[in-house]
Amino acid sequence: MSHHLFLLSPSDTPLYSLTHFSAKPSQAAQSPLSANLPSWSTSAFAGTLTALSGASSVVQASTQGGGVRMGGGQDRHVIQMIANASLDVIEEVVRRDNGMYLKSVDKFNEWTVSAFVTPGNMKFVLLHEGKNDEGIRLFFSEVWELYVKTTLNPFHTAHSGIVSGVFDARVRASARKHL
Amino acid sequence: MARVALPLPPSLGPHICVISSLDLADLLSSLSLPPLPQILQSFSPLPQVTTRTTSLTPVPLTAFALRFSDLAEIEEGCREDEEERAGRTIDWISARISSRCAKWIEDWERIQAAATENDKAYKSRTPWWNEVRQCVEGDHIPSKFEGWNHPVAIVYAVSTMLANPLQTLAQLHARPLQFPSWVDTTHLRYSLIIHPENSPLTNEEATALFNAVKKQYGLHSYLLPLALPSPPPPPVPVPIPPPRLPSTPQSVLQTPDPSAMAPESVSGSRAARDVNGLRLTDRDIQQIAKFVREFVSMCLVPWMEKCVADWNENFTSTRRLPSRLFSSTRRLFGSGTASPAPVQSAPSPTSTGSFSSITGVFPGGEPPSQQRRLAEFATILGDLKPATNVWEALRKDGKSGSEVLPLLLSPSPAVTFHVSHALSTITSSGTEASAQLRALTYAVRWEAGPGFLTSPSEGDRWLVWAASSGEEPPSALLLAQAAHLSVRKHALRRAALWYLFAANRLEKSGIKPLTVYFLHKARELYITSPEKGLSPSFWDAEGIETQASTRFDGILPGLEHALGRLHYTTGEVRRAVQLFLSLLRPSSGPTSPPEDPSEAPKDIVMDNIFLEDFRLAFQHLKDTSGSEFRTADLTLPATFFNPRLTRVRLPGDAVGGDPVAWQSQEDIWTTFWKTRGRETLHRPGKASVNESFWVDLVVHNPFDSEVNLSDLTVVVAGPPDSLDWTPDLVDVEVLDEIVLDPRETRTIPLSVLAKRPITLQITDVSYSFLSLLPAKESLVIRGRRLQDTPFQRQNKVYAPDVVVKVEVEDATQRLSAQFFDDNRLVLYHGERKQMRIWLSNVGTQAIGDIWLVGGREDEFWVEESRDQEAEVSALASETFISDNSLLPRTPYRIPFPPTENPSFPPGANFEVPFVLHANKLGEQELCLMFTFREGEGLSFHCVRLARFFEVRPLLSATLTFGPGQGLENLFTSCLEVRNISPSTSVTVSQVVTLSPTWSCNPLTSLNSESLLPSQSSQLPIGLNPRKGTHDFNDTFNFVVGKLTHILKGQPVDESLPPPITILCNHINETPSYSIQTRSMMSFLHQGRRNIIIRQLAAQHLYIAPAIHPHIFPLYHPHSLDIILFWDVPSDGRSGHILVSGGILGAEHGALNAAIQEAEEMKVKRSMYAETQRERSSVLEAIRASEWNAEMNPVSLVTIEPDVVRHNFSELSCHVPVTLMLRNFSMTHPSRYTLKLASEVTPDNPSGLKSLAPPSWIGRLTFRGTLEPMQHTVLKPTLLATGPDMYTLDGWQLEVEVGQRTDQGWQTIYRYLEKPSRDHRPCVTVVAVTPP
Repeated sequence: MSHHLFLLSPSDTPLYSLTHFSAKPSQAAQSPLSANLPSWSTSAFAGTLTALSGASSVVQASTQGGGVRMGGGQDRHVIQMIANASLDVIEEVVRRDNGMYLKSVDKFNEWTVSAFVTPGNMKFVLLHEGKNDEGIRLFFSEVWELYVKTTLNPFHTAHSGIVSGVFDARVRASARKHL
Repeated sequence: MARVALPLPPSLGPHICVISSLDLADLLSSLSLPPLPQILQSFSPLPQVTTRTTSLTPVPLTAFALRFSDLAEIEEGCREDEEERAGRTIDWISARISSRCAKWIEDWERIQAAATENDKAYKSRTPWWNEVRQCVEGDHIPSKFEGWNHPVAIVYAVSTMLANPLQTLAQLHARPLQFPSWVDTTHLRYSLIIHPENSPLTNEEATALFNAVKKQYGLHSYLLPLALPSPPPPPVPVPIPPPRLPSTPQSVLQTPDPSAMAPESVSGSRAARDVNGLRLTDRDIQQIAKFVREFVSMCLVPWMEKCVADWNENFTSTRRLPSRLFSSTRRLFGSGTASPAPVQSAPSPTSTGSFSSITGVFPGGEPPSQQRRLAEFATILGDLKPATNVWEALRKDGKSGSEVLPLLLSPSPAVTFHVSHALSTITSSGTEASAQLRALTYAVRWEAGPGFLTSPSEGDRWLVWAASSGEEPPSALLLAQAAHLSVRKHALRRAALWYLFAANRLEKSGIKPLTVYFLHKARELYITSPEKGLSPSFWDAEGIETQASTRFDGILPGLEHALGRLHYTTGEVRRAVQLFLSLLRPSSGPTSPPEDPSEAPKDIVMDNIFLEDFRLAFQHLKDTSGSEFRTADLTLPATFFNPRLTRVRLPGDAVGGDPVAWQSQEDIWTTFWKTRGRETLHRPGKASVNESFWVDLVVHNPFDSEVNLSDLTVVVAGPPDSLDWTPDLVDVEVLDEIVLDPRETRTIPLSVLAKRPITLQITDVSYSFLSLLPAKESLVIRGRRLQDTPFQRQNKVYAPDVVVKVEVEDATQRLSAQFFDDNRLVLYHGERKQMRIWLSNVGTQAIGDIWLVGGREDEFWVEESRDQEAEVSALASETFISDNSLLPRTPYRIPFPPTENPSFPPGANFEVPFVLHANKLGEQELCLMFTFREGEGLSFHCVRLARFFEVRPLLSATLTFGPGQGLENLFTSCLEVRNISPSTSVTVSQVVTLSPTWSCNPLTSLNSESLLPSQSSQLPIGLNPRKGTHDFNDTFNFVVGKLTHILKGQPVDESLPPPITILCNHINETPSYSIQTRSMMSFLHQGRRNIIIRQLAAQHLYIAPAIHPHIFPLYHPHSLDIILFWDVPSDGRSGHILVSGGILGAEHGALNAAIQEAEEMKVKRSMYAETQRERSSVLEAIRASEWNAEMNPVSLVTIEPDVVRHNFSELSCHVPVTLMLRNFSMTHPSRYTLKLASEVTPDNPSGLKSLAPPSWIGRLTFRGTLEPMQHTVLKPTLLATGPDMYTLDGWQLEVEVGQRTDQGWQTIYRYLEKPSRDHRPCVTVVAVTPP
């Protein structure tokens, strides 16, 4: 089960991204909207993109024993597109919702998008497959704290990517802990 | 909940099957008219139809859609397997899209371009979606899953052209319907008699026939008189009938569907409409319209209303409590049988078949349930309230219904739930193709429904859900439509995603034009940044442009690469090359360091793929385009060269040396020459004509892949205003090829040779990327940002661009300086190394004078003639006068060899003997700068010379001092010399002391044998004041005056200390070196200066080193230095080291008064604490300096008597003790009071056997005055009571330093001194027995 984290500045500049492969068992998303959608394919094609974007990949993953799919590779842009597309909904939700943690704000086929919008309008976007609201909330809180520490650096701007190795290591550790 | 009078999608209109008699069909075809259903279809939808609800409320419907079809076609269609048919439908739709999409895109882009301003294009449906919609809506074959396509009425049509129409009608009526059992048999039967004008029957006969028909088949009959002239009139345009799936696979090939028969421009719907027409007269059209209206309003609608009323009664009765209970029990207990609802015999006179019994399970081969038909009829009639109720009931019973509710309900979250439920039930009830088709059908209906887009439940997502993971073009187009709708809702980013998904699916079906279009749309939408509600200050604060923010790094390459490949496969190679080229942006690397190995190679893989694709496509383009091949519009987005690191390297630059050292030497020269003339120094940095210089380019491969650049060269331009510049003036090196490893950075030198004096500009670097694409990069860098005026500070203003410039000049004034030997120099510490510098004039003009500039701390000597070296003084002592100045050495003018020519002609050369003194340990670099010029008044040029050498330690010398223990010497000193070299034996050949005050004499003779490694030798030296009167008051006054100025914060004038005479004592009898040679004097001066400069820099941190020469002298009047000359006979090396001994003699705080004055001075407040701290730090440094030393000048020396032997049997022993008091002050007299007291309890901390305390007898108090440097001897007596060791302490010395004034004695300082615990002189008294 993989997770994709993106930290986006108020101008939607990606400052940091992380792909995390969780060892925890995948918990199928119990969504009436997407999980129960039909999964048909009359085509003999079963390309990577279908595995990515279609619900049929859930079947594939289970038959392959939940092996690693979707890491880097050529389809990185699709994951990034999903994160980018989710910003539309996140911005809409932020306008009517005051909370920072927007759980399961959007769904794209098997990808559930959870988001965390800081008071400074930084957006943390997490693409995940399972349902793990509490873990994701804790993860976001820790990332927020780490991010705030990063911004204490006077040389950090809202547009500069976060390249700190310490930040990266801590986010990874937090991901291992909570996701 | 229900809305009022909403227009339903046309596909949900009542389905009417028409069966025509053969004669009618013949008649129509003979008149070039389409079949009857198609003619009737042209009158749908019917405007302004009023229906009535079950409560008899009229519902005005603006449009009432009707669907007419041929009964035989429907019967045939019903027999085909549904799954097979669904598959065929999908393929059929795909094929239609595939064949037309190229044209569509052209048209659509044209429309869009025309409508960009008012944004209308987004509001209209895209042609491909229209096509899908029409194909889906055109489906009229009844389905097992829903009742919309089940015929509502059957029209039996005959013409009066035959003799007996009544019989024909009877035959038609008698014909059994060949529907499968699951088709609903509840329908209205209607008879239609078409009476053409040329009929054999007269109008009266026709009316009689009609009456007979009415009598036989009921009121649902109609006589349609038509003119139908022959030849037919010109066609009247009518809407094109919806495309229909060809009935069988064979007929696809043989007879395409009617819409496909239309010319190619089917997509342009308007054009198609013009072609499709009915060749009917206006009157006939009016007749038919009248018929259709009558048919609908008089028969169909009342009949349906009747059905609805009846069925609704049934429905409401079953929904009453008991039956609901019952039905839920049935559901609970799984009874599959239908509830025995009372079958109402519908009293419809024409309906021969009864209503089908209400079946519980709809798709199981039985007709649709009554409830469902009720719901459908009510929906068709616009009776929405019961319709919604029934649909809800159906949904709750788990029998579909969810798919229609979104059309009927007002927008709410529940609608979304219905949608997802409808889609999810498809999976349980259908196989793949049919399920996909049904999802598509639902989506089309929803999309056509009113208020679809305005729904807050995001209707575009419904289409995405409906598309699910189907990979056929219809699914892809659903996604594309979702994207289109998202754009209308301004969710551009989501739209981009849907377009990408659509493109990915379409690509698999090989529909490339649409795939390319969708990818373009996705790219375009992604690039369009949405409006951000950010403050303008947000951008200002970061100092970046609004649009400059970076985006996701993977998206554009992903899209563009796919686009590029598609363009390449579709033959648009140039476009593909452009796209591939745009992909070659420098990869920024992963945002976070990859932890997982599967992440790491992505950029490498991507860069490799991009490069390979580019190479392939470009090569193909080059090969195929032939002579038209041009690369003007192809620019490489990545850059390889860093213009900021580009350097020009001249041949003279290879000398090396520390740039700081060179700069300092240039400063020395400038300062020196400022006082002499105004001639400037030409800095080095000019190339010479016909001599190569190099341009060092720093190249960095930004890709994670190996790349090669060929034909690498720099573009050299002449001065901008030069008219006679031609590229032939310069030869520039061209590198055939360089191969760069991934991410490699390398410096590449390119040689340039100019043939004329000119100023060259290195403007660009040109190369051929991958040996394919010619590229050029500018080496011009932007000038610095200007901050001088408010305008410049508030805006971004930059200085002019900086271009690398090289001045090439004629080699008129050139000097070559080289060392004679270039071997590695390893010297011993203090070694004097003879070297030779070879100077030659390699220019074309004579050189008038040459100056040598050395480093500030370098110790060297340029020998003018060797004769002075041989001069050795035979005296034991020498004196010389030093200027006592710390000023640095000035540049030295090198004399030319004595020839008749006073200048240095071209081609001439001579050598300069040069002695280097290795004064510092470790790796050193000797940097020498020669400045030269042609003659007076001309500016100077310079040439540099540098040489590395290593200095190893050889000797360590330490000097210790103490007061003289006897009367002969005022002080004694011990020089300890140690050989610290690992293997060299060295001979200390001569020791010379240098002091303005002190005269030294060796206490033992100098050991002239060589010192082996780690061996040391000691040389005691006695010191006494120099004979004769030497007054150093002027020196002291100079320093005290200057330091007082400093303390008062006054500027220091540039006066120099007075000269001083230095006495040199040769310690050994036969000196082999003289001090008074010029070279030695110079070395001594330089050595002493280096030592003092370093000390001062460390001591007086806050006094600028530049003014040290104007404050401090080189020699302190009381200082003592020792020079140690050594020889290493085995290597023939010799040298000297200077040991700075220190300052001897007592002083009395010469600066105390000034310091006190400075401290008491009114404190000038400074707003900075740092200034205050610095001031006090200056004061402390001066207080602690040697010029302010203060001490007790009088010291008591106990001269230990020999062992006293005494016969104690006679008398007690009186031991006379000699105490010497010495005044070390050179300036002040001192009064002393020595008190002797017998100590009673001497403590003995060392734990040794305690010495006996002295008991003094006789005179116990001595008083006196000592003049400067005077001493006196006191002889008190010690009483020894027995044999013992008596310490000679127990005294107390009070000293008053003072001066005699007119008023008498004035005490300045008082000191009290007691015996030291460390050194306890004693006297031993031994008892002897008389013989």
